[in-house]
Amino acid sequence: MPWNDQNNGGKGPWGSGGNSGGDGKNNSPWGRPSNGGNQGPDLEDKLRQVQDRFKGAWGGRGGGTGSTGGGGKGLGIAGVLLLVGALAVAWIGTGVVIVDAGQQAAVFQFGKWKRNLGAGIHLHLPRPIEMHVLIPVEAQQEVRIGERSDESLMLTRDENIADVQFSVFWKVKSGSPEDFILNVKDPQATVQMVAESVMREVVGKSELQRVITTERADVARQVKEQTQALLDDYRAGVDILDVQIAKGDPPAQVIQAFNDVNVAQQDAEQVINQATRYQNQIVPEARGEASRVLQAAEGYRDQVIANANGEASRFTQIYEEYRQAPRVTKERMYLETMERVLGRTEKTILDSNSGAVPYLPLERAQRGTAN
Amino acid sequence: MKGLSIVLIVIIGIVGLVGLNSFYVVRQDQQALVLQFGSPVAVRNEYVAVSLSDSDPDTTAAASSNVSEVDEAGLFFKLPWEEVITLDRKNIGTDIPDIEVLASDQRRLTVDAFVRWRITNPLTFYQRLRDERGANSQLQRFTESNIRDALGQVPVPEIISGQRAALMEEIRQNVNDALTGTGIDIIDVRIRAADLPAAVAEGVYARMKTERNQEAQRIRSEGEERARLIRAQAERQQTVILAEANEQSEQIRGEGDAQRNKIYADAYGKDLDFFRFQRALIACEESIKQGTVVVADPSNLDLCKVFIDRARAAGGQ
Repeated sequence: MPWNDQNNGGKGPWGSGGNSGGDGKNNSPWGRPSNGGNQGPDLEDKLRQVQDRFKGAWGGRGGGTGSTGGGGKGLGIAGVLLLVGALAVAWIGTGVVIVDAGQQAAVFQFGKWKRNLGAGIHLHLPRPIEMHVLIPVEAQQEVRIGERSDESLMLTRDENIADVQFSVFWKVKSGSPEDFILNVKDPQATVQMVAESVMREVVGKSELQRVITTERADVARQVKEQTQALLDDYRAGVDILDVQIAKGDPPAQVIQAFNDVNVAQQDAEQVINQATRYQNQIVPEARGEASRVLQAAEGYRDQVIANANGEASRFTQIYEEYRQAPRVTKERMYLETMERVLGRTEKTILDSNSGAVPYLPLERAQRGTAN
Repeated sequence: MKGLSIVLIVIIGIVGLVGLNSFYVVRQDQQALVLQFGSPVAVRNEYVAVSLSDSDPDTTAAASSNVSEVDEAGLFFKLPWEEVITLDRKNIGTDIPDIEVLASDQRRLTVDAFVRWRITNPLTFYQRLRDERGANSQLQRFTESNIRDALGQVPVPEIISGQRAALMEEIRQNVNDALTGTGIDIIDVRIRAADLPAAVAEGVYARMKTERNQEAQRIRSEGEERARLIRAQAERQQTVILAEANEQSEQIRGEGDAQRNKIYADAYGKDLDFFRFQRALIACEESIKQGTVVVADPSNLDLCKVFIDRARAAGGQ
């Protein structure tokens, strides 16, 4: 029974020894990433099923060898063989690895990294010769920084204080996931530490007004690049996907004053608009008035000329008449005019020599003018 | 038979125990120091000290590939009584508690920093610092004093923005030098936060507030300025438009008057005396309207004669 011996030999020093040493060591620091991969309950089931299937196959063969090996030795030896066979299958079962979509499994041979396994079911040499760590390479992780108020306040270049909250989205670098578990202790905290220090450095080099308005996207981009560079320097196996500034404001203590500047801008615009409205009112009105004045002037001119022409032509006509019979015409004109004038006046005729007291009928005179 | 099997079991047991203690695994992210009754006999998977912070990307890359070649993680044999000390091979982060720093311009800053470091010589590390706890306390002590020294020599603006990176590198080198011989390599010292103490921050807030108030006032006043300018321009335009209109109007009226005078002159120039007579009659007729009350001497009822005489008198002069 060669494989029987092998099993025994393997089990002695490696199986138990390796497990007590390896299990204790391997699971505690490496436990987190593998647990981080979402191993659902059905994964366990699958694993068990697979193990059962293996058990079945090996058990059958084990039984077969047992029966061919000796009829005389009896049930004791067969039972032992069966047990050993089952143990062997269970042991090989420890080499089965099911990698979920979005995960990779890093396989280590006696602690030394050998290869990565993609999604699917794989078999590697059983524990403790080879072991694997499941790494969620595709899962996007988020680190939020600045949710505590004293963590979010940072000095700017112009020695103001900005209130910045941001999130760093990252994932394990899919090209070399083993870096993630091998090179840096507590990568999650490292991402946070590095991102925070980079953010403060970048903000420290910018002016407040830019951080809270125009350069926000630029700050985020710089933080992303520099954080990535630093983590690459550490060979942390981390891919920074995005840095998003959730809040880039002046501190709460002064935000009122900052808002007032915006209000002031509105106010100023309003005042200017009012003035423009005034302008739009009075200038066209003035133009209208100007046209009116001009029209009136032209009207006057035309009127005056027309009148003059009229009078002139009247005069000319009368003059022609007069020239033919000057005396007669003159007298006639005078008498006719006097007739018209006296004909329509209210007359009171007094003889200046009569000595009568002149009594002016003023009431009538007033009535007359009122008519 | 029975005794033999017991002996066999005992022997297997002993062999098993010995075998168990004869192997050890050094993981790729670990370094191991093997001691035989306290004296070092072997170092496994030692991190070859290539300073990553020498910051020349080419050499760093080359160094990185070097490191993986030297990797000697794996299964090792040892004598059963030899002791294996396992140490981390990773890049480890140590947080430095907040430090109050007095910058060269006599202003205070609260500095929060962290150190990234790595064990590069397991033996000296074990001898000098024993474990990470020991390393942490040394790191904190040396980093703190070095940060204080370095930042105390520059004014606050330099710390905040000017030469932050250079200062951090200087501190890293100083800490690294100070810890030479302890088997660790300082990868990075980074200032996470350099903030003003709370009392000073209040002053900053007050200043920011007044700055903003000034700004708001300036914007409002500039708005008012522009508004007034617009109004003034509008009013000027208005005045100019009206004045020009009046000018033109007077000109037109003048033209009219001139024309009229010319017409009159042309017409009346034919016979001035008759003109006076005729015009006086018109004036008389126009001025004595319907219903005018006239009080007159019967010997002197020639109302229009007055007009004619006056016209003659005016023309005669």
